[in-house]
Amino acid sequence: MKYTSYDLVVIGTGFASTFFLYKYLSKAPANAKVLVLEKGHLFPHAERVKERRGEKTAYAKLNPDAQETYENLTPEKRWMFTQGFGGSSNCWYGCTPRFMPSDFKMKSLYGVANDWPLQYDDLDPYYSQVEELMSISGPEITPFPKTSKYPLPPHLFTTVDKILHKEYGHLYINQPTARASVAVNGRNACCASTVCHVCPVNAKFTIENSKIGVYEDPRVETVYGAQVYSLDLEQNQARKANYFKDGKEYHVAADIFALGTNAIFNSNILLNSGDTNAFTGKGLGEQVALEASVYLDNLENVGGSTWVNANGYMLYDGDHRKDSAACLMESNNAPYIRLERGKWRHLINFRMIFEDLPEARNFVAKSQDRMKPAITHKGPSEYTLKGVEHMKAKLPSILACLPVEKIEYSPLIESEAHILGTTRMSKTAAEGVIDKHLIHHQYRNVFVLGSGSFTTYTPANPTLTLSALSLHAADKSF
Amino acid sequence: MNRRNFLRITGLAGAALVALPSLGFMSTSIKDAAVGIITKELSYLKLDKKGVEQFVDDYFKGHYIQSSLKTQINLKSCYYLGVDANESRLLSKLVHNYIVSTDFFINKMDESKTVKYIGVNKSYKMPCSNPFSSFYYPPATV
Repeated sequence: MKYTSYDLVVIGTGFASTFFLYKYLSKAPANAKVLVLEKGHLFPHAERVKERRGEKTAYAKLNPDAQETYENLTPEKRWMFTQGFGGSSNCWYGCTPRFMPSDFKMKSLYGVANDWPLQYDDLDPYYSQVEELMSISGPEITPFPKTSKYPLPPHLFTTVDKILHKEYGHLYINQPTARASVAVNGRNACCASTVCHVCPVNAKFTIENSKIGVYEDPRVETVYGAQVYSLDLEQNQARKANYFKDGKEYHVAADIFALGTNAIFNSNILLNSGDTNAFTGKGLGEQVALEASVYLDNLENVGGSTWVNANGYMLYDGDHRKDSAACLMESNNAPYIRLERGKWRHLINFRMIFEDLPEARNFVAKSQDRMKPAITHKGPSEYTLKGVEHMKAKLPSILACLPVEKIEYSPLIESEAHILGTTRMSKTAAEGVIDKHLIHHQYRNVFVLGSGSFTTYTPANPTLTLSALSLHAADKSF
Repeated sequence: MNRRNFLRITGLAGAALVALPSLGFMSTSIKDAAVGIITKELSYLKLDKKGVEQFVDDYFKGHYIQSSLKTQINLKSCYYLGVDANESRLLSKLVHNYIVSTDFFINKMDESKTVKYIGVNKSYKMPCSNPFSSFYYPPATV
């Protein structure tokens, strides 16, 4: 650490921090002093691939396993994330659909939970910027309004996807994705290896391969191995960030602080700091999903070019959302098969993903160890479970354009590897923790970034939206 | 034959009836059972026997079956009883993993060709090997 005080201290190096920094640096003066505190270390992509091949790499032990970093009081549900430089960009699957306009007004449209304090139109230009920076592959037509074109052409449909697209048009589209459809910006084209957590050909966007120049900027100093555990809060301002590095305690002052760890650790930092907002740490959640295996009569499902080839929106919007959760379909292209001679690939697997709502019974709390937040998660909402039943009732008619033999459903999947909602956004402090610019309602020099800000938990993947929220927040605040 | 001798002989015969198959059961390795299950399930394909054995060796490395006597007994029982792979998750996973670790799908499910084992976890050793993708089914052909 070069200085004792900075203009901006950013905590974490994942999507939320990186896009926030990107916009901040575009507006900050040439002499701005920015400190980034990253708990983990760089584990380069090439070394991750070596590890996956079964080869030894010294990098493998630099970052702790996620499960060792928190106290799980309900261990039947684990929370999936990756520690280290770039955060969960190292393990995400690169799915980047936008949210639907309706996702931002759940209360006014459906009488459910709360409206977000900003709307789709507010985010639209920032969605486009993130799509450009990530070189997203996507289709010409989408179910959400879109004024810009996707930078890269879409991935290819499978034979079954083509039939569904013909039937449903803009409600069944090539998935918008950060898995490049053609080589771009130093990344290779995705070739459907379907192990995207560590892409064997470096096709998906990560912070490491982003080439957006944030951490190379001379105004930015990055300190690795620095775990922030609290902020000093005085007179409705944060004064210092407190962190451990190599067994020693450090304190750093700044004008502005941006918490960009995940929703578990952001809320733990605030709770350790003495934040008494009634919603801090509350409403921890994520989407719920299951697999629907659709057995087909003499129809071979082949020809897609990536992991998730398509998204189906036929069960997403509609009056049913007054009572039961929206569902987003993902057409999965892993090399799954039927164990039946001559029918090997007469099968399509869909991942059916359901929205959830913040529930008070699901929360992050402080533990005896201030570095390890304690998590209680007692399950999804009734609203979500009703969405599962609604989907099961409707899916056969939705798939009537296919020669369906039978549909089999898996149990609910343990995790979607998304962590949402512990510092929810709201118009006032009586309804949430932060405002529409991701600034804490009480501590006005503290940004709380990332998917912890989500007011409700749409079925769409969160990364594109949380990145757009970071750009929007920095653009409107500086 | 008096009653005592009758009981002694029938008892020994009964014990043998139970014990001999049991001895076979116990002497069969999980590798033999797994190879047997794959071979039976895919009897209509020409399998490369050494490749099947190598797959089983690779598949069971670090597999929980190595430390689970219950799973070992389950596998062997399924083998001896001729259980259909689709009726057992353990068996279906075994056969599924074998067939997707071969060149069978790359060869477009051609049953006339000998099925050769390529390797487990091949995504990192052989990226782009998803046999159902557009690389193997170009748009013009589907």
